[in-house]
Amino acid sequence: MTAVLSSRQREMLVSVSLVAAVACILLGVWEFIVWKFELPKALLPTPRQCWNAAVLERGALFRATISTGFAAFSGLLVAVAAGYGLAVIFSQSRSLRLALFPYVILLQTVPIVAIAPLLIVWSGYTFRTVLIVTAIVCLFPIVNSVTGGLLSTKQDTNDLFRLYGAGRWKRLLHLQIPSSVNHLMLGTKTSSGLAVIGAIVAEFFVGNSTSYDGLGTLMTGWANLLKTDALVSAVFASAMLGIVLFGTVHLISAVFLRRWTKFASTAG
Amino acid sequence: MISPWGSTLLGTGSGQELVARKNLLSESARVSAIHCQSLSIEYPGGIRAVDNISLKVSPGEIVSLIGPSGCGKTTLLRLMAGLELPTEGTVSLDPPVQGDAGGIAFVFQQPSLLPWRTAIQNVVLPLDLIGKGSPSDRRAIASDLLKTVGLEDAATRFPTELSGGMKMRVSIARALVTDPHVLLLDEPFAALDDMLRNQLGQLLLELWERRRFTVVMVTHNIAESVLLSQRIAVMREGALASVLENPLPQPRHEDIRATVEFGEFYGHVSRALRGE
Amino acid sequence: MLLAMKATIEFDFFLSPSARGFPRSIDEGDTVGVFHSLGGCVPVIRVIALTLGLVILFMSGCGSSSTSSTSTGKKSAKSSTDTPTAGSPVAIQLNWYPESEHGGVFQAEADGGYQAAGLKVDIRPGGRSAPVAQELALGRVQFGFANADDVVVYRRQGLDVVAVLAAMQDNPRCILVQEKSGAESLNDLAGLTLQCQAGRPYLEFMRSKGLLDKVKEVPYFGSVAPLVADPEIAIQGYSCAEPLLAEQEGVKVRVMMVSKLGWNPYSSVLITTGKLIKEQPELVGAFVKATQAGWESYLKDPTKGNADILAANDHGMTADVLKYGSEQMRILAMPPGDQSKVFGRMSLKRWIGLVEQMDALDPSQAKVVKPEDCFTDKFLE
Repeated sequence: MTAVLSSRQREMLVSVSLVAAVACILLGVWEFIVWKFELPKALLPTPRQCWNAAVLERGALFRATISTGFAAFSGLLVAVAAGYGLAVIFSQSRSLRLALFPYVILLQTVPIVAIAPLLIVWSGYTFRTVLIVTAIVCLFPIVNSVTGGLLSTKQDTNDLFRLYGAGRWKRLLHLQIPSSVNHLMLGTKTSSGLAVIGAIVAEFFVGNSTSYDGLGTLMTGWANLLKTDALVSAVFASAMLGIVLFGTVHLISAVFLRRWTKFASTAG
Repeated sequence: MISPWGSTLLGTGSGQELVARKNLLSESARVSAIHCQSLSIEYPGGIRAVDNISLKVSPGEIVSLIGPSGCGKTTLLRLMAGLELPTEGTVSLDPPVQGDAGGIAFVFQQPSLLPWRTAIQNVVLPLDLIGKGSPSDRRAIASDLLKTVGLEDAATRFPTELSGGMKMRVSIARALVTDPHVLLLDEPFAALDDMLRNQLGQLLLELWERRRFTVVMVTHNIAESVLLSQRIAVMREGALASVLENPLPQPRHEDIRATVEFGEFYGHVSRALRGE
Repeated sequence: MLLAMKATIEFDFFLSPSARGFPRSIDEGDTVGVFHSLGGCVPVIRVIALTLGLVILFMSGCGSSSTSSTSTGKKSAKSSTDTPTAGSPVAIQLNWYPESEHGGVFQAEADGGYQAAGLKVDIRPGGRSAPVAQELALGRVQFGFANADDVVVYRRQGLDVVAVLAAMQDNPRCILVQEKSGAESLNDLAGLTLQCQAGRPYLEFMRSKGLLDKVKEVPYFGSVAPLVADPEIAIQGYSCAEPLLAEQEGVKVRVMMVSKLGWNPYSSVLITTGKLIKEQPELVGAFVKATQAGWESYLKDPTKGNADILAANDHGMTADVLKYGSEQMRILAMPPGDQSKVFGRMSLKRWIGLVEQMDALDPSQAKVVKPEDCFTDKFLE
């Protein structure tokens, strides 16, 4: 079989084949485990059963994926905006940074299951609550990365700016912000997976099918009914969502922000 | 031979660029002398990186600072630049220049270019920072300088696409974009190979011939200091061990390296460096 | 998404070509065949091909087993029982925090009834999402508590769960609102926010009658606290527990029984697996009899049982609530007019009715479950 492929395309083909091959292996192992231990469908269905359930519930799954996807994406955006702003403040004021950074860490460590009911009391059973929960979950990696990025400018470059009497704002605009784009992308990529998890967990608390429809809502319902095959298909849908979100961030980073991300992280 | 201010010093610029330069840099063309008076800097723990140095650099002069590693030459340079403050003594420029008017330029050991800016945008950076002139004026001057250092074709390339030597040339062009009175260089060619080093040294001389700014250069390379400078200050352990006058005639060219006089002075400097 | 995958794979997941060990001799536009040109990564490809081959073998071998996996419970992953003797340890999984609805079991233990039958019983408390079916299916517990509609739900998913005793003939499922709420009956719920567990059949039943239109359904966290603050909130509950729990929080409530609508599955049903019934009938019989006796004792005098329940419950239960609950239990367990002499008995007629109701609510699952498979009376007298 002869074909004319550029080496780049060939690499792509091999990459995709490898990933697909591993997927097949994993699916095979899964089937094997169910078969060997004779696990009931309600405990662990086979890949085929999950597929059938997915096809059966495709309408609800699709709508829920869009819903949850929208929540995750919006939450991530809010976290990026808030996180970047916070990081800029932290980079400019050492005292504020020392004073407030532990609280950002606190946000990361306090479990959502504890925060969510409180947020519901303040914000109700609404999309806004899901948004807030998701944003909280995504915040820390972004603040952490970007603060580090803003502060990590090289000595020589700092000296250069000082030499020409560049003040705080000029430094921020011409040096710190451009050099932090890489860090922002890194933090956002980390948070993209968290965004989906955050949205789904929020939906566990906020959503029932009439108030707000999302993957978390569907999962809760199906778990209660022991429809494990549908549950697993919803899990896969959420994983796909995470990949799409990650891929989108990566795309933005590699295409639109190319100028600031194509080099290694530090200026110089 | 100080070129009259306002002539097209930098390559064959158009009349428009000429006018732009005149508009942009309105202050006097007099270059400054550097006065160090009993200059000292002591760090916590009692380490005196610079110990009671008094040195005068005349306007338009090229002085090299040489010495073994850790003798404080970079610190002295940074004191002259205003990047560090002395604990004792004074350092001043006469006539005084403002850093934020672009009067002092510094070339670092690493090119330290901003990777998200193209070559020409990097050269324009100091003008952006001091905020002088319209963007098109700034661009014209930067373009001119790039031409002078021979990087006309690389103007729109990013630093990752430039070789080490090219990046250093951009760094030099950047230093000159504000028409500085004082140019300070910290082992600028240390990371480059010999051929490139000689080339860029020659370039530096040419640029200096046209503009005659005051130059202080830290270097490890004795031959380079002999070729380029009028005086050589030898430092040891934070103090000035000796200051040597360079007898070689100017203007100097690469070929002078092969002469006997060069070798003699070279030997003289070597001995001074070793402490004899 | 493919673009995302491509971008992701290209930049992040794999190393540069030289690091991957591709032969440098492959140039752009090489006309060599695809597979030949993949020779550069031969070792990896070979390993993967081999594994793939094995996997395909397994999958075709297991192909027939995907149908057999629907007949569940045949072999559990861990079997905790040896040869059937009445001295075996027995575990029972409760379906909620210990409450009066579980009274019979605690009473049997407190009375020493299980001990007398030679059983060492471990009562495992449940909570908001007690994994009753899962624990039964894995063989980690031998018995569980459930409602009759749960039995149908489990059987629909292929789990061989069988009811052996029904402690409550009437279902305690109710909706509670504050007394000062505008809702007088289950027909008046429009505009309220109902805290409930998603997917529960009683909800679908109410929905099918249009009672949940304009009702905002939100997750239920097993606490009556929200009811205290807000007259617009309704919560699901059991008539033998939540009403008094709410009153203890300081709010008078109105109790609206779902059974009045015609939804009345058996409750506090003792369930076990078909496998256990087949393999260890003596064990099942002993446990059922002892539990039956425990219930009869609890309904006469719940003191000992309630003391144990109180000790086991760390979810806000109080002695008063238990006392109230056990009184409610009497009404639910032995409703007037139900003069069956044998405690815990179930009738096929009611099971048929329940399965029909549930099939109507979810036509896609109709006819999957046979009412006669759901229960057996044979261990009761």
